[in-house]
Amino acid sequence: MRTQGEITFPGEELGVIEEFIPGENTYEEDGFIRSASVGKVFYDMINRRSNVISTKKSAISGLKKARYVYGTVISIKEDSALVNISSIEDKFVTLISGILHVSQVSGKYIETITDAVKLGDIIRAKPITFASPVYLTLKGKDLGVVLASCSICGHLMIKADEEHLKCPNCGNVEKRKIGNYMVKRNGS
Amino acid sequence: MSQNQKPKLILENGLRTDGRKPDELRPMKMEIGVLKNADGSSIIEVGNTKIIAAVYGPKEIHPRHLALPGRATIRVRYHMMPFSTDERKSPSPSRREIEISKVIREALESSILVEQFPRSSIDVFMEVIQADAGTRLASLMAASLAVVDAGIPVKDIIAAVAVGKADGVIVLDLNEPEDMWGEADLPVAMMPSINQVNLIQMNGNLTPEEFKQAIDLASRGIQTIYNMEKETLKSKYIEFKEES
Repeated sequence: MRTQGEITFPGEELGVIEEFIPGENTYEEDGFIRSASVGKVFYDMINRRSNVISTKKSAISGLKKARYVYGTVISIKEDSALVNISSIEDKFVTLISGILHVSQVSGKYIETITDAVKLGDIIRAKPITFASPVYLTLKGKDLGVVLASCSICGHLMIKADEEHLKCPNCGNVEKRKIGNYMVKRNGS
Repeated sequence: MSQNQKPKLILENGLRTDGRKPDELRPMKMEIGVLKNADGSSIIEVGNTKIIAAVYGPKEIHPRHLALPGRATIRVRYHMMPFSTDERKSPSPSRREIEISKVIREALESSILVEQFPRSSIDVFMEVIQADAGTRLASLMAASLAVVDAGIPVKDIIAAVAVGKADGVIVLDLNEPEDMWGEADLPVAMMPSINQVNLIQMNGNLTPEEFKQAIDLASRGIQTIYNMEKETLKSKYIEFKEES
């Protein structure tokens, strides 16, 4: 066992499998737990896990701790929507594809996916799986459509009530799953 | 530059053509994080050999049909720049470069923990800026450092060196004339902490005793290089800590 917080390099022994579970940035081989990247050793004594806290992380592994992601709806299927994830929390990433299923839209019954999101909407969602394609959920008060445009005239929609958006240009009213972060008027 | 006659590889005083002892490495320099746009990068110099490597990923794979369900796909490109050799090299990938790309890919695959990134890709690019024997191993080391720089989990850092026989003497870290005129060339890449060999190839003839002796010499050289690699990573890590 090494001292807590010590700098470690890939391949270095951190402990044996009898005392710890291999955690973040570590792997197990022949009964030994070894570091898999450059960083600080962190032994989690409560869960008996040995981790290495590294300085750099890839975008995909950042998904695990993400509370929300932003993405654009690029296509709608019968019961799901395809989303291009463009940012993880507030950090922009190279596009990752995401899937939003109707059952993950809200706790209430929803007839079709288009009652929640429409093509071209920008949504704030939470990842529930962590390898691409990433499955997303909109369940939760802070999650939902952030920016939407009218499907008749293309004008930006504004919030009418908790479930509806209204187009200020042509008066069209549409149903959406709206979160707390809906952009109201002129990007405010 | 290149001669048509075989020169004397081991001089009367027991030294080699470039003044090294038989078990002496070429001077080596390495640096990581040299490119801004790549996720991880490195530049490495082994004597006159200069390699730059860049890593992208893990990211979503494109085209989709290359995705593997249980692991990441690694795509490797080893390429020599037209001005890297004494005579202009055509920039199109040659048969040799395609083969070396494959060999390096297989060596890298055994060090990267590919199972952690299903259906994604890791792209590795290596450019030989200057070639002077040992480019495949220098490229492999550069790639390994760049992968670590990108924060991709690996089993161990790869350290590599070639051994060979020149004028009947087992020599470490071959240079260009020894590579060309020597009796044998044996590139070895290892992960020293877990005692595994990533890559081993042989060109020429060695007796079993000579082979053992060569491997011994190589693993000693690899240990030195490995410590140098660790030092490089450490200095970068400390630099990062000071910034934050």
